[in-house]
Parts: sequence; C-alpha cells; structure tokens
Amino acid sequence: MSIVDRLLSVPEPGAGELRIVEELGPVGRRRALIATGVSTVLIVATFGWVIRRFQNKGQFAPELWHPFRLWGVWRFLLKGVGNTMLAFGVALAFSLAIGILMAVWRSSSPKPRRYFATIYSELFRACALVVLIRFFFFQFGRSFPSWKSNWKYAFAAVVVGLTLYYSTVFAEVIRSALRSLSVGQTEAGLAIGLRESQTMRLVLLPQALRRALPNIFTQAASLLKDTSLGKLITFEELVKQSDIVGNFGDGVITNLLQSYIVAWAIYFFLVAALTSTAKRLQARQGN
Amino acid sequence: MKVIADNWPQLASAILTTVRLTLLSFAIGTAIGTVIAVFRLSPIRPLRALAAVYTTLMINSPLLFLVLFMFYGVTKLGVILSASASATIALSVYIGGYVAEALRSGFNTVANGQAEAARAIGLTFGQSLRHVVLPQAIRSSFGPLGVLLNASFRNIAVASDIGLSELTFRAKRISEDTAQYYPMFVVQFATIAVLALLTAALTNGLDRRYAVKR
Repeated sequence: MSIVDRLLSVPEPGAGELRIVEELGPVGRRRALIATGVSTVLIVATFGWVIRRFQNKGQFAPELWHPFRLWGVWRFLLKGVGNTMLAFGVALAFSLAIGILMAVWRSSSPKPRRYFATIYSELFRACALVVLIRFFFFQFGRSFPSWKSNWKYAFAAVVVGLTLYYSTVFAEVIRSALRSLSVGQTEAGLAIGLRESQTMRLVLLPQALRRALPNIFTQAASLLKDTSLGKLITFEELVKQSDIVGNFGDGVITNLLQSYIVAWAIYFFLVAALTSTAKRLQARQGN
Repeated sequence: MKVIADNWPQLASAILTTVRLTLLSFAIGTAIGTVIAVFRLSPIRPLRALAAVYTTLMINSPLLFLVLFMFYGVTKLGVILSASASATIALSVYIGGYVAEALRSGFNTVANGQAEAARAIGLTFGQSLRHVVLPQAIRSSFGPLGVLLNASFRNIAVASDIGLSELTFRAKRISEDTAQYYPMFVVQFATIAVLALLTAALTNGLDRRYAVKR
C-alpha cells in the first residue's frame, strides 16, 4: 500500500455502523487528497496560532507553571480531587440504590408503590440541578444551625441534590433495561414457582443491570462532571480549588489559565475513565 | 408571593435571557455538531481525527470549566468577552460535542443499503449525505436532541457563576435582597418545569410528524 492509499483508506466500520464512502475513484482520490492537505494545513495553523498567542501573552513563562511543582499547591488541588471523588462516590451509591428501587417499584404491581415511584421520578427529573443544590444549601443552613461548618452544609447539599436528580436518571435507565427483557423471562420465573418479587430479584434485575451497565457508566460520568456545580455553593471541590490556586497572588500576575488547564486535565482523565469503560462495555454487548 | 409580583419585570427579563441564550447556543451547537458528525464519516483522515478529539474533549469536560475558561481564562490571552458571549460560546461548543454523538447514533440507524443505493446511482459523498443520509439521521435524532435542549435550559444556570443575569442568578439576587427565599425557589422550579414540558411537547410533535417509520 502506498502512502496515499493508506492516507485515503477508510477504517472498516464496526457492526451496525454506517459507511458512506467506499473505494474512491480517480476523481474522488484527487479531491480527497486536496482536502486532506488543506485541512491538515488549517488544523496545524489554528493550533500554531493558539500556541503563539500563549507565547505572546507570556503564558508559557516558567514562573506561572512553577507552582505546579510545589507539594503545597498539589496538596491543595488534591484536597479538591478528594472532595470531588467523595461527593461523587456517596452520591453515586445513594442514587444507584434509590434508582434501582424506583425502577423496580415502577415496574411492579402494587399500585401505591408504582404511583409513588412514578411521581418521584417525574418530579425530580424536571428539576434543575443547580437550583436543587442551591435550595438544599439554603435549607440545610436554616434547618441545622448546629452544624456550624460550611463544608458540611455544602457537602450535604451537593450529595442530596445530585442523589435526587441522578436517582431518577438511573431509575429510567434501569427501567428501560427491564422493559427490554422478554416476557418469557417473567413467565419462566413464575412457572418454576418463584414469587413475583423473587422473579424480579433473581431473574429480571440481574439481567437488566447487566444490560444497563454501559448507560450506567455514561450517566456516572455525567454525575462526576456535575459535582463541579458544588463550586456555586462554595464546596471546595476541584474547580473551586483550581480557581483559588489560579487567583492566588497579587491579582495582576496570576496563573489562572495554567491552573484551569491542570485541573481540566485531571477532570478529563477521571471522566474519560468512566466514558471509555462505557464504550468498551457497549462494544462488548454488540449494540 | 408578593415578592414575585414586585420583581416580575426583572424575573421576566431573566427568563427571557435564559431562553434566548439557550436557544441561540443550541442552534450554534447543532450546526457545530452536524459538521463534526459529518467529519467523522468523511474519507478525510485529519478531519476524522479532529472530530474524534473534539467530541472526546467536550464529553469529558465539565461545562462549568468551559464557562470559566471562556470568561476568566481567555482574558489572559487578551480576549475580553461579556458574560453572555462567554456563556453562549461555552454552551455552544459543549452542545456541539453532544449533538455530534447523537447524530452519530442517528447515522447508524440509517440502513447501509441506503448509502449503497446512493453510491450506485452515482451520488458523491456530499450529495449522498445531503439528500439521503443526513435527512434520515436527523429525523431519527429528535428524541436525543430534545433531551439535549431540555438539559441545556438547566445547564445554562452554571453561567450564574460568571454573573450572567439569567433566571437562577436573578432569582438568587432577588431572594438575597428581599430575604424571601422560598417564593424565588418556587419560581425557578416552576419555570424549569414549564420549559421541560414545552420541550417535551415540541420533541414529541416533531417526532410524530417527521420520524422515519421503519
């Protein structure tokens, strides 16, 4: 294969993926080659322009990056990572547990439970996360004056807000997985003498959870991103900490840009770990 | 509830800001996302790589970071943007990444036979995209796009952190000024719920009218 052939080859699409281009003819090859050249130049030029801009504005100056070689700065940022992960972990555990419960209740027969689960899901799904979190921050401050710690109020508000919203998201994901199972599964469970609740617990739920796993990871990634909303109520998570690091100094020369870039990179890797797992699981399930 | 009536002009203009900027960002984001999704399918390798990098970057970044970066970060590069411009740009590029992903799954609902038929009658890449693939892909993406628009109405609230005078920012200010907190929370929850219902109705309507029956 010549270099041109390799350049113009289109990767084999995965199962169920659309493919618009096949082997190109002579005219198509010429056009594609020109487009490749032009787009490469444009991309490189844009990238170069950004780099130059950084350089011209002195944003590569070593003293602006120097703080990120200090343990004290990292300890400060890692505290943010710790708070982010703590809020993420607690909210994820609660919202998954409640989400599973609500999905089961909504798919099961006793009417009061079904109604409760339906109202719960529809109610909190319609809420804006920012407003929920601000509301609980305010309400906890009013209801529990004895806490006397901003961290407690902020942490509780972030966790409760995220849990209420994301439990409805997980409930929806799991409910649609439950509905995608064939009726035969329920019938078989009942036929071998299991009670309805046993059929749900032993037959349906394990299959549904496995089927929902890629979506659960996708939503968990989005939950992790939304922990950043804690910054709006002074929760000292990663964004807030990087903001403080970046605004530290005499107010004229600050390393705000550098601080954002470092924290952004940390965020990127944390979230990408979840989204790439979701993709892998999805590919393995073949849909 | 008197506080709502007293401050209604301010609230109404804030709600209008929320709606206007969200719709604007969604329009720009949809345009960006369509271009990126098409890049992903194209035979031009650098464009495919660009599209992959773009979506990965957007989907794995918190929106708040993009907003802060566009407002405070870029001042360090000598670019001064207003809060509404920063919020619109940040939200647009963010939505673009998600639209690209939504359209990508929309593309995959188009049968390969359609693309083959388009090639067989001699349509070029651009023509088969425009006349055959894209219309079907968009029409089967109304659901996910509606969810995205709905999420955007709420997501723009993060721009309250850079002082954009949208609904949640204004409501917070009014509640702090008047020390009347609950009515303002009611206004916020109610407005978001109404916007969600309207979006859902719009999406369902479009879906029923235009969705490809298979």
